Amino acid sequence: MLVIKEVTKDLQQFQLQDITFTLPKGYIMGLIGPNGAGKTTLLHTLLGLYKADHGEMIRNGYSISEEHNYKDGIGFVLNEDCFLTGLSLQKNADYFGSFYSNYSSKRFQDLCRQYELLPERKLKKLSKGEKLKFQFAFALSHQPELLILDEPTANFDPEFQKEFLRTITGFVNDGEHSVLLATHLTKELDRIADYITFLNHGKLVFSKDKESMYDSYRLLIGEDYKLNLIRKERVLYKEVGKHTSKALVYHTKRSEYDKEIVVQIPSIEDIMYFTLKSEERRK
Amino acid sequence: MENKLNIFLYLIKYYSSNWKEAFLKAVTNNWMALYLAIYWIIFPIDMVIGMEEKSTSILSVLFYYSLFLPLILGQIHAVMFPNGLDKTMFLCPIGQKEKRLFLIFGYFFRFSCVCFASFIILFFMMATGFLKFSIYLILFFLSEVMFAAIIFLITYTEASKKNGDYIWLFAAWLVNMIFCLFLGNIIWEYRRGQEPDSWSKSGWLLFTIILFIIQLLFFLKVMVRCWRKEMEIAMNYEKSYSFYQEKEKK
Repeated sequence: MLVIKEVTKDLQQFQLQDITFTLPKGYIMGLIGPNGAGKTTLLHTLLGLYKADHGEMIRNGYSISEEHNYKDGIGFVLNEDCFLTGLSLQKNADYFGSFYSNYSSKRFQDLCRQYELLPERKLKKLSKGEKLKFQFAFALSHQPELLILDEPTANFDPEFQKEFLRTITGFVNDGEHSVLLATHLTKELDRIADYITFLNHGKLVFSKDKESMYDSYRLLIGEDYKLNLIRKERVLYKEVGKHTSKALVYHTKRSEYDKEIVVQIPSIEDIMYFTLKSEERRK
Repeated sequence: MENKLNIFLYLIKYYSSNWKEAFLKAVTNNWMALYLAIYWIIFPIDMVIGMEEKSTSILSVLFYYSLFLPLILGQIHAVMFPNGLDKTMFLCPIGQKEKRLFLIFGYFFRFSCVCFASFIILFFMMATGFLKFSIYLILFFLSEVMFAAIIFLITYTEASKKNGDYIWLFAAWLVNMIFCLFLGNIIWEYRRGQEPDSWSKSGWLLFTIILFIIQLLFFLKVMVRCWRKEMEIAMNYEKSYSFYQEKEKK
């Protein structure tokens, strides 16, 4: 279980403000937001690269100040160069794996075989996608309780993307492991995520389980004058089209809609898009 | 406990993994080029002024330059590996105490490379009979080693340096330069078999020792002033790496 409470980080040009959420064991959380929203900064803070100015970060009862225990159960895939690029994959994994209590060299080799990586190849000779595969294999090889993944999927080939998604859904199946996945590819999250945390400009827009998020919104499509009949405070944002308009509205069980309006459960992408538009308008 | 056993392994892997890229970075560094240029220009001038003999062999010139090899090696090394800890080390489950241990070992690993190179050159010079074993020669190498220690400390976390810190480095370099030029001349005189007859031998020795003590005090002052600060910066990812991230963005 990962508990993040009122985490604040000031990086001069950018501020992460008051981030609070909880990721229970056995679930996948999608971290979404536009570019520059603070996803990577948040993940760097969770991984202990940045020291939070304020707030608490606790993983399975270990606070981040107990660095060894806190990090021992975290596997990471970062969308940037890590590890010693002049060494082979196997040497890198064996060396850095030696800091983790559950690292298994054999498991790493099996994963390399599964992901079609040659363990004896030097890291610097790998493509961007392969480097991320290596990071993923390494992350799994020390059997972490929590996986922190920073936009890895964009660089994977379509075949491996499927494999990756299968792996992380399998990873949480036993109810003991969790995944925090930052991504732009919200369609994947529609399928696999259990929780969604939405950041924008370093602030938390919301963090809730996917079902209650879907229950909270509806995407309405219909003629503009029909949509105008909905109370303004319920409309998050309305996009006027040539023939029909679209609006994302707050939804409750009691909400009723005109029969001529098409009512859809919005996708994560819709929610993200309309929320950002709404914030833009407010500014 | 196991982590501690990995210290040497880490250092060897760290220093051997990126050396090609790091070397290129070091030799293309402007500051480094300026530093080398000054050395390579000043010493031929010094040799011309200091030597009156006309039969200078190529070997003796090479030997003369090799006196400064440890320092130059040290300087290249410092530019090649400006940070004590690799980024991945900050992500691994390593406690603060272990990180500190890594950094201290890293510093002495780097420093001992220079001491080792100095010792080899000194030994080689004496074995070939190029220079006689003298107190001047020992002081010269000690001075080089002290300067290397200062360079390594001040450039250990070069990333987060403010200009003020470089004043200390420049001052250390100046003191070392004067001392080495002075000692270099005396050593050269010995090499030519001309002991400074016009000088009072004990007077020059006393003067050399005073200069050496001044350098030693300066060395201690810099070490005491910078050690704790440098180690704290090196242990902090934000302070160590933000500089490079900003540079990359630019």
